[in-house]
Amino acid sequence: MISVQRPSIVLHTPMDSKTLISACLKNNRAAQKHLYNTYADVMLGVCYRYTKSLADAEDVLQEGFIKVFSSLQQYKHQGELAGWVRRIMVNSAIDYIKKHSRYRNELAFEQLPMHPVSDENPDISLDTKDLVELIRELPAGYQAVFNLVAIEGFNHIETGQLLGISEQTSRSQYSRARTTLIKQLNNISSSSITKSYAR
Amino acid sequence: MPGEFEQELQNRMQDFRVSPGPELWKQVAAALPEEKRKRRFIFWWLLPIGLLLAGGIWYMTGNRQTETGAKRQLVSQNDTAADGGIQATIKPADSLADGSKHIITASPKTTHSKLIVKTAPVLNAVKQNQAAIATNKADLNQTKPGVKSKVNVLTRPGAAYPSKPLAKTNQRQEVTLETTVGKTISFAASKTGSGGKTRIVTTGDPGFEVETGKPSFKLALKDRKAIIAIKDPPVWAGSDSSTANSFTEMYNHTPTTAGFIVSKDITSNIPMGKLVKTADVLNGSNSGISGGHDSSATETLVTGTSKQPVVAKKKAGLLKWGFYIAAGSSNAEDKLFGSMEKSLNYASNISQGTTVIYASPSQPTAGFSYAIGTERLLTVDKYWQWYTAVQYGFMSNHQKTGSRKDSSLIIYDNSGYNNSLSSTTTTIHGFYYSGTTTSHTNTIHQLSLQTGLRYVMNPLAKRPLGIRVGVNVNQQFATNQLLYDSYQNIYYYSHTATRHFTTGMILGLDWMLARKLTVGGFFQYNFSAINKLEAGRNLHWRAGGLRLSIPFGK
Repeated sequence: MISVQRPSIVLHTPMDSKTLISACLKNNRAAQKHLYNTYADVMLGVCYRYTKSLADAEDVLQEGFIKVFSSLQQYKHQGELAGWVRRIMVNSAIDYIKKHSRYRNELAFEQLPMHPVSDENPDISLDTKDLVELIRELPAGYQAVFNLVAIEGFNHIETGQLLGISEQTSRSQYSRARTTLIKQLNNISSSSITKSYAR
Repeated sequence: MPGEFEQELQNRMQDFRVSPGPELWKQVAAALPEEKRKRRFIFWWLLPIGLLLAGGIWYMTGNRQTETGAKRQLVSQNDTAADGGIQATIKPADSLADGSKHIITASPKTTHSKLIVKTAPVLNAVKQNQAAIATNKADLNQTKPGVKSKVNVLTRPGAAYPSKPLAKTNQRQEVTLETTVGKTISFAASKTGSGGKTRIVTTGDPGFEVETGKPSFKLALKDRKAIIAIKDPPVWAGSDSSTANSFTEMYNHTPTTAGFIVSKDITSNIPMGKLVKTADVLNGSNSGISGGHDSSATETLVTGTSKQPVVAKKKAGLLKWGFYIAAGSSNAEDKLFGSMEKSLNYASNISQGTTVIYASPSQPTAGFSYAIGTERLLTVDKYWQWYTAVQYGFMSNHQKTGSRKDSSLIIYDNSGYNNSLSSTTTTIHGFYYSGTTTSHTNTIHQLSLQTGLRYVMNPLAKRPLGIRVGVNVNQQFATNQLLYDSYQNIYYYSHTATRHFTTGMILGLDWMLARKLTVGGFFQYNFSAINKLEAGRNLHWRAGGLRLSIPFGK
């Protein structure tokens, strides 16, 4: 059973994070655990969106945190530490789904014809957890592209580079994923009014 | 630009959290490097200091007792003749009526100041060696373990000089060659470009073969150096006149030789089981090569398969500290080897009608010994190590006192009446007799400074054998030493008579086990005799047994 929590505390101030990072670089286990506890919930949420099971998400989180601690000296204190950790988690998730066959097979995108981009912007009446589950029900290829574009904010060139596909394929995959998701949202909340917005 | 749908998704997902299981942190922590524990090191360095201090206190305490207390004289023997017969009287010395009580008044030696003097250099030595260890540790930290092998790109020298021949002076490039020492590493070389041959030459071990035309080469060992040589790289393809050159020529960088060498003493600063790192590439001159370089051959990629194990030894001059314990048996006897029985003329006082024969003093039997110490090994070269050690040792043996009735002898006395032979039955009185003996345990404690050489017979073996030969100086602070005074014909105890400054030697044979634990046998012999008062006898302490060395750090 997955528990979804609301954020309750603000992450470290810059001074705090600097001290924390310094201690982590000295392999201070208490500091490393503190950093882990600070970000683990949020980052597992990220990993969870890219995978099909909680066990896979935890594998990604584990690999991600190992990368975080082993490459922490590369963090230059520019930008928030949370963003830096999040980027590592996203990269770890991409590596994971590229490496494991049950994801990789679905990532082997064939060149699909362009799909018209839906203009629909449905009102999302579902709670966050159900919404995440809908995203996770997408095929792995759609799921990865949708997460990277819609939620992480990557453009299609960057997404293509991350996944090893062309920009056009990324656009096509995203369009199909978006349409599929909106269709499911509409089915679930058929009584709600679908609003259209100009893009 | 994200649409409103995407924007709302992003807002929603910022708050999305999933709690990981409690075991996940343990798995992450298990994969992280261990925390550094420096304090543990300090504890070991305190050990020899603590031993010295404890020995000093012990010494001073024992000394005071000796000065204030009465000497303990346990047994005295006074053999007298009465009525032409033999009578032996064995009494406690204090109760001797004839005043023959003999008290050894060996003056206690002042040791307090000596111990202070001795402690100071030991402290300095500890500090110096802590610094040395720190330096070595820093050196070792430069080699990071963990990477088994690494792809190495050897940039063709011609690539850096695409439009002109190579200069006569060697071009130097750095590449990284990493492997785990003790593991088997291997390489394969492939080249791009056209024409020419890639000939790979290995050297260092006469058992290696020269491979030609194969995209692979081996790592060779020579004088503890790993040498990788690649001859005729693609840069000199085409009219390459160097194909007939020998490796020796290449290695020497003769002006007409093409090729480059990857050579590095991988043994420097690298302990067994650690990472080997860094090789240099020396690009030879090709001024004598006609045809120039092949600009289409841009690089040689070296990556790897395994063929030849690499064994790296400790760098000469690397200091190592260790802790050791030893246990075995000990004794104090006349001779180094043999029966330990010295032929003494104890038969005397032969006179007409009265014959008194004194038996020789009883021989002590072996007791238990142990030692604990710390040692520093300085590697002189591949085979030799110089070691110094500070050691506390305990030795003991057992000795019986009493009377002995060994046998009856027929003494033919030709000084009798009419000069004719007559016989007298004579009983020999000695110092022990079964049933009426008292067994004493002699104990001796000593602080030793040792130095010597350790010869490693097979330095490249996984479990090398070593032989130690060394000398030591010892300050003994004995307790309960039972001594024999032949002039007074008594045994007596002394706390101070054996408080000598002695010299000795030590021999050993050891074998390195896993984790650099070294186990072996030792034999220690003190040149100095324990008691000069004892006429005709020269007792030397000796000990032998097993010794286990545990290195500090890795």
